[in-house]
Amino acid sequence: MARYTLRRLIGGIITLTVVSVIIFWIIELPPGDAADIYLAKKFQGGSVVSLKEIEAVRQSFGLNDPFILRWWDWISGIIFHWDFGQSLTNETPVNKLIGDRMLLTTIIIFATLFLTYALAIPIGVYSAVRRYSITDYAFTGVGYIGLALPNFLFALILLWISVRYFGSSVGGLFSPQYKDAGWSIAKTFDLLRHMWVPIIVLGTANLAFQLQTVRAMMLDEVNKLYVTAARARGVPEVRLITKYPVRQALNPIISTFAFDINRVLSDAPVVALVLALPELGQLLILSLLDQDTQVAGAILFIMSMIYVLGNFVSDLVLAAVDPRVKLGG
Amino acid sequence: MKLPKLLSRPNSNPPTNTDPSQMAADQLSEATQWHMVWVRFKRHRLAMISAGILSLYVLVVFFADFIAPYGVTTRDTNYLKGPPEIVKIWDGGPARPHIDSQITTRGGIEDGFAFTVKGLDSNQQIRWFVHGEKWTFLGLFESDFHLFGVGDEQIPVVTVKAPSSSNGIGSSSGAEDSSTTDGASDDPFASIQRDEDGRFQIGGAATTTADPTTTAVTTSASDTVNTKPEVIETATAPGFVHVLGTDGLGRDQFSRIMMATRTSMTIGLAGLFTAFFLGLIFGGVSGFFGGWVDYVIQRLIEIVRSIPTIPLVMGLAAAFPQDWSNQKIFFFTAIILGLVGWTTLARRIRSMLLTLQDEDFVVAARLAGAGPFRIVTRHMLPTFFSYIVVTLAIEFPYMILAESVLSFIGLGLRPPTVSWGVLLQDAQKVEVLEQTPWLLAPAGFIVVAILAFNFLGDGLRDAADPYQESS
Repeated sequence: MARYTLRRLIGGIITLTVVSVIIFWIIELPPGDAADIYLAKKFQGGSVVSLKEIEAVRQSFGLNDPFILRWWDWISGIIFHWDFGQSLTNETPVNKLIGDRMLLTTIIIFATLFLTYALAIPIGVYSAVRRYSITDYAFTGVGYIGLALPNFLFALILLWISVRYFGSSVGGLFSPQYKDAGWSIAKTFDLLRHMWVPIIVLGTANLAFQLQTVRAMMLDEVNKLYVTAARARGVPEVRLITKYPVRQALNPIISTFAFDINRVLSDAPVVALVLALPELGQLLILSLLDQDTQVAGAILFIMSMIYVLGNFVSDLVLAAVDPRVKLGG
Repeated sequence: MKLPKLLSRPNSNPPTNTDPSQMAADQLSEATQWHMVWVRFKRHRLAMISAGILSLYVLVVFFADFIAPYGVTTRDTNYLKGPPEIVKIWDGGPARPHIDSQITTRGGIEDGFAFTVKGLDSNQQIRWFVHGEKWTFLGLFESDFHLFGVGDEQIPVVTVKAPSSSNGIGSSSGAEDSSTTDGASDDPFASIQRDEDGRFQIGGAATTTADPTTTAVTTSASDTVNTKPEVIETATAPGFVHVLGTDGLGRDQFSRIMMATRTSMTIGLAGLFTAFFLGLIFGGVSGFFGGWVDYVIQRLIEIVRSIPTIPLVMGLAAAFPQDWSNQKIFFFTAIILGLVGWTTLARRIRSMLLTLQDEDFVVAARLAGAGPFRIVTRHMLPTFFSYIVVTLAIEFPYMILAESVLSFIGLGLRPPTVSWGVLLQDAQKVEVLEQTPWLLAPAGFIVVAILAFNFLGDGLRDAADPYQESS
């Protein structure tokens, strides 16, 4: 197990290293660099900037260094000091902009996944056991709609319904009075009151995927001989289903855990933008619209880190519940 | 050899041809692969319906200019933020398709509340194949025919100032205005009512003596009601029909959606082919050569996948310079979609190649001295071509979706180019949604397209493999 863990860990670190290079490349992709923006800000009054001055600023920003050095500058700050540098458009540290958005993003991810699994597993199992029943068709139908309705549209529609029929917007994550207050129990409850909307929106698409996986997996399993054998031995039906095929059907859920994280991370920004949620994805879009790739790159990297971490955990859990995985490497 | 299995498969929906199964089996045993795929596909009823819907989309892609009654930027200034106009085919009895006259609010004229009544007292007939704005078909020929419209006669347009409780500053008849201080003035539309024919009567009580020859404004010099609105302006304007309403600038939503459908479908297709091309190369090399090449490519795929897709697309699209033309943005958006989306295709192509690697016919080709390119393209690709089609059909919705998201948040295509995402941009704000919920209409087109592609993909997947039991 230690060997396996180590291999997964090294794999994750290599992945993150290459990802960081790609993301740093994206940071530098837009035309113009930090020096241009800095100078444009500084000399907005209209005074002339000499080429020499530009060169001096470039030098001081380290922009004349080769790519790999600039990358190392960036990544070493993150590794050793958890410092993502300065925002390009306003002179604020990226860390400060991110603030507790990361916590909120993490909460949203896990709440969404929890909701997904809590619903997908029982419904998927039921659908498979009562195949072609009306309930099965109903859930499959809902699943299809969930797949086809883009998240941001779903959020928009919920927003419209809430304004049109309930007279209040479901946007935001806190009531005004808690927005700038410190964390307290009351604030946490307030958060929960607002959070069900993004979680339902994000959960629906994910639920549809998981429902199909669990159902398909169960359908494969319930006809296998070991199930028949157990039934022949007189194992009660409920116990039979939960004890044997369900266990098998859970494996793909564990192994796709990281992909679920990725899906939520991928869908969340636009939903957050529509619902005005102060989480990472929203900041990502806002900073991209502002061409502030320093902030955007930091967020992209954090998202990748969350994914890689999730992948690592799911690999370990999978190895623990299904020993065959370990041998395969 | 395995055909009987195909036919004996218990299936819930009956085969479409009523031939005895034996006859069908005889026909099938001589059928080409594509014919068998078609026969099986036909059984999947939802997939058939989806294919029909998608062919409508394809028609729109080619003939958007013809189907759309107006241009993308054409404005109907008398019908700003106008709700969808319902085409009626029943008017106390069967009637030719027509639309009723409409009111739109304009607001903000002096202190009062003004609104425009379009087509007062004249129901506009919907006509087929009318002359309208000129369009060109792929630069080949020019035409000014449109599928439907309202003809080109002028219709009366009356701008009316609603009675307001405050004393009208710019009003010439202050005596009448000052008396309008009752509850009725809360509703600016209270003084305007439709008669039984759907025409508007301006003035208080709906006088049922609708006289089609004179305009309602002149007949309703009602002195009995104190909510008499004031006519500011009477004019004529060309008629319009807006089956899905208009936006804040009075642009026809239906026409814009038709054009947007063209853009979104084309860009999705372009992205899909970029992804297909990359997937074919990487997946092909990976699956055919194996070894360390395979290892490197697989790690590369893992790395690309560990950055969340849509944020990655957004990050790349944010690098578009502001001064790029829309064609350039279109082109590069498609490339980005492909760059991010190729991994799924590459994985599938690789796994298919790996399973075929040891088939006799591949070994034979290799022994006969065929080069890798020839083996892959001539011997292996044709055997799993149908799977590729399936994968492409499943992948397409993601392309459409990514483009919509990108344009929706303002990082993709920019106005005046319209795509589904660009159109939905207008509907981003709650206030806008509240006033003009019909701006959400493009969402319906997106959902239907994605749903149809999902079902089509399912149907194709079942059909593409005639020997496999579908679960």
